[in-house]
Amino acid sequence: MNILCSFALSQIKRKKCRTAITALAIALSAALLTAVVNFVASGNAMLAGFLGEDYGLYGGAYLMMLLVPAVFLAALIAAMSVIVISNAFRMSANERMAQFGTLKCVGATKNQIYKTIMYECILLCTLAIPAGILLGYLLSFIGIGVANLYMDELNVLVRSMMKRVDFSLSFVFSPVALIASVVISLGTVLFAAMLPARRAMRISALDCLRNGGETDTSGYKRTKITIDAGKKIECRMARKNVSSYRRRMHSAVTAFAISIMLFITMSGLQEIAEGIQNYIYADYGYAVIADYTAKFKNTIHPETGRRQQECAYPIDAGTAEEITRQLREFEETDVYGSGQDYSTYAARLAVQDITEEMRQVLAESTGEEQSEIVLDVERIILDDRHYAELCTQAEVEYGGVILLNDYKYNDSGTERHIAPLAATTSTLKLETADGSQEEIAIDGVLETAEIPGILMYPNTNPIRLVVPAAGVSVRGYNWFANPKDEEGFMAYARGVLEERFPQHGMDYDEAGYTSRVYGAQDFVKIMNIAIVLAAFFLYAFVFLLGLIGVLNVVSTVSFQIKLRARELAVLQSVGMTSDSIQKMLNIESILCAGKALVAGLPLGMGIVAVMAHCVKKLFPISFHMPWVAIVITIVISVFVMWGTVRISAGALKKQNIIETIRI
Amino acid sequence: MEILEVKDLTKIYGKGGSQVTALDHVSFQVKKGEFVAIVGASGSGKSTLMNLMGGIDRPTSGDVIVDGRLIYDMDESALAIFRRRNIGIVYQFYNLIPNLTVDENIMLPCLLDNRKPDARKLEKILEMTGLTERRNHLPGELSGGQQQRVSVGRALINDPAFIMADEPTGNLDSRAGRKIMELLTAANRRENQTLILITHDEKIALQADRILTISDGQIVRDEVMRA
Repeated sequence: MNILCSFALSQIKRKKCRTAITALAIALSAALLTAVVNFVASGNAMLAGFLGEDYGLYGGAYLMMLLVPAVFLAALIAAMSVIVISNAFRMSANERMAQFGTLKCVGATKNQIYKTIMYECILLCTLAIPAGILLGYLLSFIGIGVANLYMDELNVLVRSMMKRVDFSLSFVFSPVALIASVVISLGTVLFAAMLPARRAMRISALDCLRNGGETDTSGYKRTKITIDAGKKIECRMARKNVSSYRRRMHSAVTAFAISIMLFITMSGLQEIAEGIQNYIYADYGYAVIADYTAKFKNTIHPETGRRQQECAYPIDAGTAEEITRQLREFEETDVYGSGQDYSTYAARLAVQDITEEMRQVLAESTGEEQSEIVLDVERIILDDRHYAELCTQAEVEYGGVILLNDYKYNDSGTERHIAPLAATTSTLKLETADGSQEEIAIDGVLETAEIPGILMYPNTNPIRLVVPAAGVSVRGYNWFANPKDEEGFMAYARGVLEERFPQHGMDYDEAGYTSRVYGAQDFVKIMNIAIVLAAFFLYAFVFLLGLIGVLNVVSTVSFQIKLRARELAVLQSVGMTSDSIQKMLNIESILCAGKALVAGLPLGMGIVAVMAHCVKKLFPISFHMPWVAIVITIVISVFVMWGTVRISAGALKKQNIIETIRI
Repeated sequence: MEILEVKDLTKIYGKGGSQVTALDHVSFQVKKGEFVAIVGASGSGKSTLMNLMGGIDRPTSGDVIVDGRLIYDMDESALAIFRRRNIGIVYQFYNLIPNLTVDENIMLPCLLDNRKPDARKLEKILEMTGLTERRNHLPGELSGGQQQRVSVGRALINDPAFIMADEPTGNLDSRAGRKIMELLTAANRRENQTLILITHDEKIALQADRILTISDGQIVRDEVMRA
């Protein structure tokens, strides 16, 4: 065997514990990278399954849903791995600095010193990378198994709303993915080992022999210890030590800070997802929803240049009313029918027609005051019975137009309701896209508090009118029901809708419309499953990445304590008690954990705040910092650092002071 | 014939106000087969001179010519290769590789050259150093004297142009020290091996053909003891 290779092998054999930690870090890194590559392969197989090989219209989805997250995750894993593995080889090189010095003195070239470290890396890789790739496949297999536990339920729920969708992850073995995993993992580890190897080869023989390779001491802060009766020497020395050894601890603190940042970010992300779910889900007090939605196309009117919506198969009020009646026949179930038309009309208003609050909202969104205002109008039709009830509530004769004088908007993350039209407004001038106009009278007004909850859904237009249904056609219509036998009613409703709107196995695009029947809670369940799945994968990812970081902390701290054995023995020889030394080391561990927390916590909280800020622009969600996760992070960080120092220092107690000093 | 020529060698450590001149325009020559002792007080510049002659450090100015070659004209890799083939170094604290056996430590300069050492040469060195029985031991299993003998063996394995020994007996008892000196002088007398020895010990220095006395970074005396 080549002499350099035998040096590397000997180092591996001698330093079994650190070799094991380094190999574990390499294996975990390879496992995570393999899992990410497999995620792309399996995700690709799933999406291609129901979108087609080329993803059809959704070609961009491949990039957005698979490649971008995969590249982001892989880059994060690679960065973390480089920090941790590089640190492990740096420690190995530092231990052998005197050996390198001797080798250089007897004629070893720079390249030979470099090769010694790289051989060690290659020897570790030959075992750790295959093991890591196997672990990665195992992780993928377990992950896919866990995901599929939820997928069946998800498919049942989704198919009640969307047809021809099949979420099913399968374990994909792709030779290309395997090669990619090996290349990325090996590249990451070799790059990580190259950094300390290049440093070791550059240090002169004299520096290797004299200073253990420490040539540049400019980074060391000179701190003076003054003995002050009021302050403990352990505390002062710990502060000095943390300051002096900050370079040596740099990678451990950085890796720890990244782990902390990731954990906080993931926790914040989960809070945001739950906030969105709570906002989107509206409880109308009905258990089952049936709906009809026609396909539409947005076009620009050639003469007026205004946007208009073209819909081939709208549903007319008469058909909707007949379906309502049919559905009510199932065990005398109460059915609430409502349909919306969002895009036929716009209202042309003078400034005095709208309230001051609405003017402010419009000015904020457009950036300027306007003399004439055009607002989108939403026409709502209800089933006959509920329309009559609403007329009574609004004290309007049957056949009248009722204004729902409520505009809901997102005020930097807070949902606000204002009355858009002034109380004096009694007529509205409505315009269609072709420029034709008609004036309608407002017969009654319901303010925010008076509007039935079922008409307070998430997306609404500024001006909302409940109009008599006769002669009106709308793009979509919903039937809400609270049947005693939910399953029976759903089957019955599907039959009714299928009879009226047969799709003959075609999907929404091909048929030009779709009808669905689903439980009101199904949406929440889908969201919950999606959040649980995302949280499972993200937390598993963060846990494993955090584990690499913790391995680095354990390895670095224990190595540093061993390196300082002589210093600690000297301290003991001049009369410092074991308890005092332990106390000093405890304070050092807390200060190091504190440094990681000071870097990682604000960064994580900052990312969460930025994410929340961006999401709040879209959804008025209530969001709080993940304080529980922050507290858990602080406790775990201090515990890991303190525990490692305590165990490492405990091992030193067995050593003889004189022997240690003579080393 | 000069095997080593030191020309106007100066070494200054530090910068600005904290500059220390460790060697100040030192010049001398060493002939093939000569045994030169360099003596001087602690901090006089002996070890700096040795590091510069061995090509382990680079001077602020001046040259060292070994066997007709300017060693500082070589790049670091070439100098390292030159060192392992042409210069044997013996340190006070042995500097052996702890996980290599006696055999391997002695053969190290050859192994770094990716060549197998001459088996007869190795046997001869093992016999000369009295380590044949210990050839498969690790340095940690040897006494200080034995470790230093391994170090001498390592310096001799490549028949270098000269051997430099920095206080080779400084860490040994008198008996072990005597044995090391016997080894080094034997190499010098029998094999005509050039030997440069740095020492505090007057008795040891008196064994040399020539004594250079160094003080404050300058050669203050150059005495020829025997021609």
